[in-house]
Amino acid sequence: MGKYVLRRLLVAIPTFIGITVLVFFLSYLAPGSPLEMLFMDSNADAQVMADMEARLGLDQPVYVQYFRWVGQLFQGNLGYSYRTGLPVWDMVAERIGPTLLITIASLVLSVLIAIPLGVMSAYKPYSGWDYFSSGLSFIGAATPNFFAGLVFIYLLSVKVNIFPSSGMYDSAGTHTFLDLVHHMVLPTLVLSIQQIGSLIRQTRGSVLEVLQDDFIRTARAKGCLESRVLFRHALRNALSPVITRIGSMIPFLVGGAVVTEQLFSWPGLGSLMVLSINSRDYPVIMGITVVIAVAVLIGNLIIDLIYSVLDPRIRYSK
Amino acid sequence: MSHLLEISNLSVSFLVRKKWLQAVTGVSFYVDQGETLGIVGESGCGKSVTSMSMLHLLPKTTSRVDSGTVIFDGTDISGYSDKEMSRIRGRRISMIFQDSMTSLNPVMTNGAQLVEAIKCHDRNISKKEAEEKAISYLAKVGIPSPEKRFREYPHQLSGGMRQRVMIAMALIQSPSILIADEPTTALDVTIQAQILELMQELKATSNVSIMLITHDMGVVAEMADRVMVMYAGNVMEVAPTKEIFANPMHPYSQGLLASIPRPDKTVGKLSSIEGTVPTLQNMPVGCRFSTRCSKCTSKCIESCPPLFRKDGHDVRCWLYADGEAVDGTSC
Repeated sequence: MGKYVLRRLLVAIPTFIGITVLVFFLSYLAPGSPLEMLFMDSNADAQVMADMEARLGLDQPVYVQYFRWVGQLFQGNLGYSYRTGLPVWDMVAERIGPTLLITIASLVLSVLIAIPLGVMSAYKPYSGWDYFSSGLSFIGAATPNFFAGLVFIYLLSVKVNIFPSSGMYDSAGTHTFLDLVHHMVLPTLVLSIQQIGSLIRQTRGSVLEVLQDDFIRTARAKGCLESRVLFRHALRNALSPVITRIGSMIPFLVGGAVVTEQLFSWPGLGSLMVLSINSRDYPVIMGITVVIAVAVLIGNLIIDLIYSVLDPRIRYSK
Repeated sequence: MSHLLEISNLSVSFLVRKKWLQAVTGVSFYVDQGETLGIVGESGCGKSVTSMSMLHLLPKTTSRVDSGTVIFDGTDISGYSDKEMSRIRGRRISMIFQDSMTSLNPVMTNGAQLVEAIKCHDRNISKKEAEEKAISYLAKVGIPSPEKRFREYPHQLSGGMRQRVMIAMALIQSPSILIADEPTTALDVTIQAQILELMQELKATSNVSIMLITHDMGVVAEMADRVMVMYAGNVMEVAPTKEIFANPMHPYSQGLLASIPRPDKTVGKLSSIEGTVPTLQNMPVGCRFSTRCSKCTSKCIESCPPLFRKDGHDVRCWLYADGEAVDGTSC
């Protein structure tokens, strides 16, 4: 078990290095120099611009720039924003909480809704339940979240004013937990819809397959009750592909958060990302990308660990 | 005399492309206390379906029992609900299956699966007692270092060992009947012999009745007291084992026995029964074996024979029409 964890951790290191290379060089290749953004004034003094270029290290060869950036990265310094001049890490730290809040909430919501629905569908295929949840999953998987967001805002904020359409708290200034939950409902729902759709389908398919397995027949033949057969024997064996699906959901959740946050003016990483892209604030873009990549890496690591808990064959394999 | 298990006129259908097709038709037989009944026949002849339907283990959406009663220990269990059946399954009638590789749950330890077989029927037993019982049964079926194996997972055992775990699990509630559905088919020959020997031993000590489903005539000869030959969903012949090997009456039984390779005789070509089993869609109107039978007459093609009782055999063949008919025509 310990060996397995260690191996997973070691694999994460080259992945992380690969991420830094990609992030850095893609930003470097993007058209438009940061200098142009800093000096919007076309009459800027050439000498001042040259000084600035030297100060930011932009006159150095690209590989020197890369190693300098990575070196700083390992010291926890993501650089400074061209736009605000603030340290990128501080800007990211301020925004990461709200993003984690809605992504994790929607992950939990998706799992809580989709897995029971998927299991029910698989247990009684072609029943009313099955048609209901299959319909739900098709609609969910086929609805882009910007569209779902607009529909929700229109119906639940504009027509019937039950949920607020933007922000994390009321403008009154009192930050209560209930207020936060109230504001979270719509963005979390919007972020969950597609995930629920695909997760129901994955769970249904996977449980349906496991229910055909011989050991299910064995469990019935030894006199286990159906509920035990379904949850103890079938579900646990069916979970591996479902967990894989959840793992692959993580990047989509983060990507979806960019759109959703923008839509609901949610003060998270996604809206900071959009703002930074519009102002070509490269250090911030790179910083956010690295942080998101690390989050996905950690997410996958957790998924790997869950695998090994679920399936002893992974734990013991050499 | 009443039998421990008596099945009468059992018919089972499956839903195939929106049509119900009968896979087992009018099957009747009995099993007595402490007896081993061998059920033989080619793949797809309805051996497994018969035993699975007795325990209500067939999928409910794609199969149905058209007729038949299952009298077990004086009670008709054919109409039992799932909950009532779960008290019979594993406790009074147990089952072991062909593929020991896939018949155990890969994510549960061997021990947990054995303990579950105890606790499903006996909720009051303490965890410690259940574990001790499970370990003692692992030892009983000849598994070395049972405490260690108890904590291991099925994938850490060999095929033979897994089948032993299955047998331990099936016998842990001291059932009256053990249904063994091709228990040795997936094992190599030496392990096969060990498992059969183990079953003989356990039978001798516990007086359990065994329904042994197989297509291996050698296994039947070694294990069974009586043999029931099935073909295309019908019972073709029932007789004591010695009788059927010495004097097979049904042309199908004769064909089966003739097909056993003889290492002591050099023959140019191995004997076989010509043709293949008719599909469910094209069952003959008359005798179901008529399409492959060398002794087929026009009567065989036109109408289906009942089981005739003659010289201690029950035979479904017009050749023995001088015997007493023991059931109606049921093809």
